[in-house]
Amino acid sequence: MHFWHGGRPPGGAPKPGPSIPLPKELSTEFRVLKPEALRFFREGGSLGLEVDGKIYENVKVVPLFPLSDDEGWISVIDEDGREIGIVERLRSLEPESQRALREELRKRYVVPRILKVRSCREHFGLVEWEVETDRGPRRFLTRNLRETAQRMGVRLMFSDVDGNRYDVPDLRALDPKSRALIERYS
Amino acid sequence: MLPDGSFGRQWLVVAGDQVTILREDGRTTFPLRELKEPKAEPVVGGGILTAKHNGRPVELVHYTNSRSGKFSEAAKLLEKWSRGEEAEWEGKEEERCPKCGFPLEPGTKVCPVCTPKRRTLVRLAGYLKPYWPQAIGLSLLAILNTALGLLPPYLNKPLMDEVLAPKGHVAPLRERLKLLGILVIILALSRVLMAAVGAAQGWLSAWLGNRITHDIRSRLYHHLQYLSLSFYDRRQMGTVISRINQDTGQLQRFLVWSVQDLIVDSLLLLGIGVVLFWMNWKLALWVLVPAPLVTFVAQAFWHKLRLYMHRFFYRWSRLNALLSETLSGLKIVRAFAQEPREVSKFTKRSWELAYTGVQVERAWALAFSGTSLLIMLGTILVWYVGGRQVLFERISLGTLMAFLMYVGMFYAPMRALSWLVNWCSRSLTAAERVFEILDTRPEVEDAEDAVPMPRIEGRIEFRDVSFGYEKNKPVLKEVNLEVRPGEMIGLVGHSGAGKTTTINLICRFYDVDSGEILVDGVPLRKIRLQDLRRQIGIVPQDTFLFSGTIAENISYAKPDATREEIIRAAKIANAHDFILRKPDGYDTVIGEGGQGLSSGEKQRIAIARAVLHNPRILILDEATSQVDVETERQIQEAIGRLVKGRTTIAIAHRLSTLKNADRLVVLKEGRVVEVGTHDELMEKKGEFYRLVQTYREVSKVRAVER
Repeated sequence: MHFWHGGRPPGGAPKPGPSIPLPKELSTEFRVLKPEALRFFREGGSLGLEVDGKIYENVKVVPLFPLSDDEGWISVIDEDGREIGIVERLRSLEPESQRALREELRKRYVVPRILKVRSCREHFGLVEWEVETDRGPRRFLTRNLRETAQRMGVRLMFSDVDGNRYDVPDLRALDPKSRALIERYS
Repeated sequence: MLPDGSFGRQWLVVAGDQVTILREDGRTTFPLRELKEPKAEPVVGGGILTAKHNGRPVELVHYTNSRSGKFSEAAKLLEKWSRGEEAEWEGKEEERCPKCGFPLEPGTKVCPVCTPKRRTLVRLAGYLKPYWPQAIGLSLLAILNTALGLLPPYLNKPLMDEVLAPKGHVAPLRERLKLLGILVIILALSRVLMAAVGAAQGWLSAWLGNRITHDIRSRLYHHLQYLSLSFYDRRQMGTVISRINQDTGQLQRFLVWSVQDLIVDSLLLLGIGVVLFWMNWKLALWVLVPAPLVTFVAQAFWHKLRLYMHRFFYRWSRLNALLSETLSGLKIVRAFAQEPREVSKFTKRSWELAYTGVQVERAWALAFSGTSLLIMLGTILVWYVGGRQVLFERISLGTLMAFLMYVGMFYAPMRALSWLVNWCSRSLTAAERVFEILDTRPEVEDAEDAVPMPRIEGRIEFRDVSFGYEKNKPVLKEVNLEVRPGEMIGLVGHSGAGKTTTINLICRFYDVDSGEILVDGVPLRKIRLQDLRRQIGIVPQDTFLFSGTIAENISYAKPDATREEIIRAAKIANAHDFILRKPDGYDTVIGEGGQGLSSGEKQRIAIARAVLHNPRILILDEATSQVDVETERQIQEAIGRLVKGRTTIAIAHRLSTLKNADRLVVLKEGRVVEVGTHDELMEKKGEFYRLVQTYREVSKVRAVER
């Protein structure tokens, strides 16, 4: 039933994208940042980038294909929201740059991956999950997954009642018990 | 139709240079050459053939819609003849079934009324062909099942006559106990075997039925994908969808369950009948006494039941419709405080449904008890007649017991069959509806001598093109137009002037009625459809996005596009910057119809899709929907980049597009009235000038309102 016009999606709170101001001029040129010509560095709490001798401070990074390719296609954006360029492969960067960029990505794109489902209980239409994720153990509530989860092939993504998102990249890769628990509620 | 509007017959006769209208009570004659501008003027529910005689309009003939095709052709002919030109009747004979007069679907010769049910059955059986080993296996299982089912009652005879109540020579107890053991083992074995055969039969028949339905459904969908758009114009999308869902669903139930029941029940009926007559034909005759009654009563109830069931399903769907309507319009209901009315409307319909439900169940119950009673009548007769025969020792007690069990089994398949026959005829109707679609030939098809066209230059010519969605109502009239390769043409005109139709014809969604469209000098009809459509890109007015990720939508026309290509396309379309601000970037899933995106965003994704498609001919149907100034600028910029180096036909609403176009074509009532650049047309102060003036005034008002 799609009768929430413009209201909240049924999965819980809305899930906004990264809040980056739109630039005055839109980027129309496809520019790949060459790994040998760039260096990411940490500066206080933020990320900086040096490319061809030019230094950008406080850059934002956005994974363009976070689900289908989490090892590449990172858009780097300057303070005004303009895209500086795209990093095509994370692994091609210098180890130091790579570490800095990965650290920033982990903070910017928070979608924990579920590694194991410990338990699953249903009460009053809500399901209480206890899971192990790549960011540590977590306990959360969801509505019926059948209505809120997105299935993309073997991948399953869903949100809890507070709008936090969780990702199961490959259902088949889970242990049988976790899989059975997820299948029961989705 | 008579001149006063009542039904009647009239004839229009053209002989020599006289036009005569014959009525049953008289005639009117006009000299052919004095009739000017004959016209078939459509009215609601019919039409009038008019002309000018001595400068004054005269109404020649009134006609109903069933004749409108003929009279529009007649009007054309009259015009040509009155000018002294040679012309022949070109109108197609109306496609009606020669046998019963039922109007036929264009392109089919299959009359739904006259097609015998047997032909449909044969055709349905044709789908069985690839699976003939399974089909034969299924028939064997059915025969085995029936044979096994006939065994247990017969065991009654030795049980009674030799074990429990033997007459005459009595065997010793040990012998009788041994025989009892054997009989019990046979009974148990046969029951186990029957269960196994029954399970196998059910499984195999479900497999077969689902397979065949899947075949038919896929073929139907494949066919629907390739049918001309005009097929859909004539139908509501809902009925087409219901044909795929319901009719194939009904076929499935028929193939999976009914066919199986039909075979098993017929075999059972036959088998039991044979056994009964073989055991005692005199007694068997008594069994047949209620048989015609059972069939008759079952038939009678079936008609009633069907009526109620129709009503039940109809009310059910009406309730559903109401539910989805009011729930999706919930805001409006709230806003106008109409909750009580909606509640009472729903309650009323719900009660209607409940009432019909009771009727259905009551009819069922009556039918079931009624036939059961009749069946018992048979048993009662056998009890009495058979009982007497046992007492007079004409038959053994065992025979009677076995006989009674057979009789009990005899009526059930008889009752089932009388319903099944009706059920089957309904399913066959569903099959016919499905076949009817499969028999419809696409009107737009590759010509036999279609030429491949790997790369289109982009020259488009219209030569005297006329076209109408309905044959007697032309939308485009003798349009002539030439578009040079790489040129951007803006189509301008009021709504209904024929802009969208022009575009539909270039894409060859429809074939022209007369005249010709040429691409690179080759008639459109001669170009392979795949080649043509692959090189035409459309950015439609109402952007349609499929459910899937943004990346999937952009690469719809080129599924193997690399990520780099997708990003490049998005950047050209000014879409990259908003896409990366979505939670999952290019992997963000958008719902059906593009939920979760604004209309400006949807449009830019559609532009990116067209960029990646990289067509030689680009069709732009500009959205009229209001987007903010900044978004409009971004869209315009994107379009500016997209049209470079391609022949572009744009339906232009925005002044900015009009200025960018190389030439503008002004359409009015299906004709090209002006062609030229923006500045030329503005200087000319013609139709275009007037359009722009109106537009400006409207914009001014809007600006004030803002």
